[in-house]
Parts: sequence; C-alpha cells; structure tokens
Amino acid sequence: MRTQRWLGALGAALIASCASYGAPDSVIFGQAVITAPKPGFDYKPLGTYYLVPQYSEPRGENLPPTLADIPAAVVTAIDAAMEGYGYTATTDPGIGGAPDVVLAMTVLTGTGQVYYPGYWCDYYYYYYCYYDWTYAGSYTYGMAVLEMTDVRGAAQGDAVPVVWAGAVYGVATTAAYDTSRAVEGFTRAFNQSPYLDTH
Amino acid sequence: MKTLIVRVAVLGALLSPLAARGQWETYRPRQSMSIFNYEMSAPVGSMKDNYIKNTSWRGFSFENRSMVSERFSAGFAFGYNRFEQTYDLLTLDRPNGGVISGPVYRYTDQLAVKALVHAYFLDGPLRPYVGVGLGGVWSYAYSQTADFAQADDGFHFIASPELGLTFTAARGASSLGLNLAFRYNYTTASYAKVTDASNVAVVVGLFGAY
Repeated sequence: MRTQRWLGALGAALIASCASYGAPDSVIFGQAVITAPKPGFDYKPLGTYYLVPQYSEPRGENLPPTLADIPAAVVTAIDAAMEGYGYTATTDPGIGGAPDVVLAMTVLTGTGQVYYPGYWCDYYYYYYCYYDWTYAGSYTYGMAVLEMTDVRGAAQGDAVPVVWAGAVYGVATTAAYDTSRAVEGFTRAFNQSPYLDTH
Repeated sequence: MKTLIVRVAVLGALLSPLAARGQWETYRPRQSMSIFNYEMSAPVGSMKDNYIKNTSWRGFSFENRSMVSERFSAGFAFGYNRFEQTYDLLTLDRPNGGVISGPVYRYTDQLAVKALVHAYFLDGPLRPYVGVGLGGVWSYAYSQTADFAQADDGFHFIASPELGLTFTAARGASSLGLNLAFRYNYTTASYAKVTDASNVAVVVGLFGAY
C-alpha cells in the first residue's frame, strides 16, 4: 500500500510536469515600457510643460504623418504624472509665455506574422514528409513614444534637444483596451523616471 | 588408489562450474542497474539571482550503472530539466539611467549527458552512496516580453556530485527498488546575466537491477 502511494505521488508529479508550455497572454498582451533620460541633464530647474494634444503617426517616405487626438485618458495620466513631479501645464506655448519643455507623442505601428511548426507529408511527392513552418496569420504591434524636449531659450526653427523619452510597446488589440494599456504604460514610464521630479 | 584419484578428479571437474557460478552470484543482484528518475530542481547562484527563481518540477533522468567491483559502479546518464518563470512586472536598469520594464516569460532547458561513478557503503536493502557525474549539457534559454523574444543556446560542461540512497524492495535474480538522491548540478552555461546556470535537485526514482 505504501508503495502504491509512492507510485501515485510520482504519477501525479509527472502529470503536473506536463503543463502547457509557452508565454501566457499576460506577457504576450502586456506592454514593455522603456525610458531614457539625457545623461547628466538637470531637471530641477524645469517648471512648465506643454503637451501637444495630437500624436503623429508616420506613413512612410514622402507622405505627411497622420495626426490624431491623444485619447483623453492618456492625456489625463500624463498630466497627473507631470504635476506630481512639480510641473505646471501650459495650455498653449504661445500664450502666457513659452513652456520649459514640450511633450510630443509619436505612434509607430507595424505588422507581424505568425507561423506555426508542423510535419507535413506531400501526396504529390510519394508522401514525402518534411518539417516546415506554416503561415497562420498576422497581427499589429505598436509603440507610442513620448518625447520631452527642452525649449528654453529656443527660437523658431531651432533644433531642440530631447531630454527624456518614454516608449510603450505592445501587441495591438481593441482600441479601448489599447488605450487603457497606454494609460498604464505611461504611468509606469513616469514612475520609473523619478529623476524628472523638480521638487 | 587410481580409482579414488579418478573419482576425485571427476568430482572436482563437475563441481568447478558450480563454484564459478557461486562467485558470479555474489555480484549478480547489482551487476547492472537501470534507474528512471523524476527530478525537482531549484536554481542557485546567478541563475536564481538573475534569471529564474522558480523550482523546476519538470525534470527526468535515466541512469545505467554497472558494478565494476563490490563497492563501485560506473555508468552513464541522460537528464532533462526545464526551468520556467513568468514575471508580472520585471524592471531592469539600462546604461545611462535608462530603464526597461514589462511582463516577462522565461524558460531554460538543460539536456545533460554524463559519465557516472558511484561508491556504495553498506550491504542490505538500504545502500547509501556518493557519486559524481561529469559530461556535457545543452542549454537553451528563452525570454519573451510582448512579442519580443530572445534565445540563447550552447553546449557546456556539467559536473554533478550527489549523495543518495537505494532501497531494494524486491530482491532475487532481478531486483527492484527506489532511488533517492540530492544532487548539485554545476554547469558552465552562461546567458543574459547568468554566469553558471546551476541548480540543486531532489531525485526520486525507480530502479531495476539484474
């Protein structure tokens, strides 16, 4: 009887060890957030910012980028993070004085292909069998990049330095879900950049 | 007198194979032992600190040991272990103050081929032993966040000292029993920030000996 219990436990462990392989959906549809400061830059003197209300999406060479409004929830998240770090929003860079920094968003999208492996046998070649990958479909991925540029003392037409960048990358799903992930992603981008704090 | 000498010679000739068989039977129960093991392995060192912390519940090994003397055996082993972990949120520092964060899925496969040497201490149903396995291990490490994936593979050295115990449950011309061992698997496999992908394993197995 004791031996049977041992064998039963061993069998249960073997069955448990055969659980599914592969990344879970929380990883596949999660978002990677990358942030980068300008090395050596001092953020303490900064005080005001302007968030460009539209994001741009490049369409390729010789084509103007597509412009669209940043979703309100994303704007709210960015404003909350900036104010939390001691920045004051300016509604328009031309009214009430120029801001210290400008935040502008760019969205990049692309298409990926999914292939799955299999072992195939071909009737026309006398059932010759071979291992191959088969096209299973495509998906869209996207990256929203928020750049902070230092515009203090800059004149019209000047090149302005990027002093911080945060990027949220993920596999596209529905618009509503992607917006909520962008909110979570940019909130995380600011949280992992404590050097932006001006207090 | 001549008749007596002839009778003794004939009797001796008839008994000598039996005597030889008797000597062979001393080694017979453990002359060759085949073991199938289930392994639970916990990463240690840089593998635990920098890649996967979870215990592996997916490990198997097959061993064949032949007694080369009453106390020593030599043999070979094949082993497989998979280590796997999903991080809900992993944050990694990048050069110049940059940070990357996200959910990460990682796994590592280790497929080892080893030569074995073991020494046994007691006779009877319970036989403690110490041993070591030396050989090569094919290592494959995979990491994914969103649809970004990175993989690294290679063939490396492995050394596996172990302390164990065999319990012979049924003894006869063939024997059956259980094998229990604690094993340290040191490898030179390196990937990402892992310098020597090593682990400690609890090994439980069934053996057949003949």
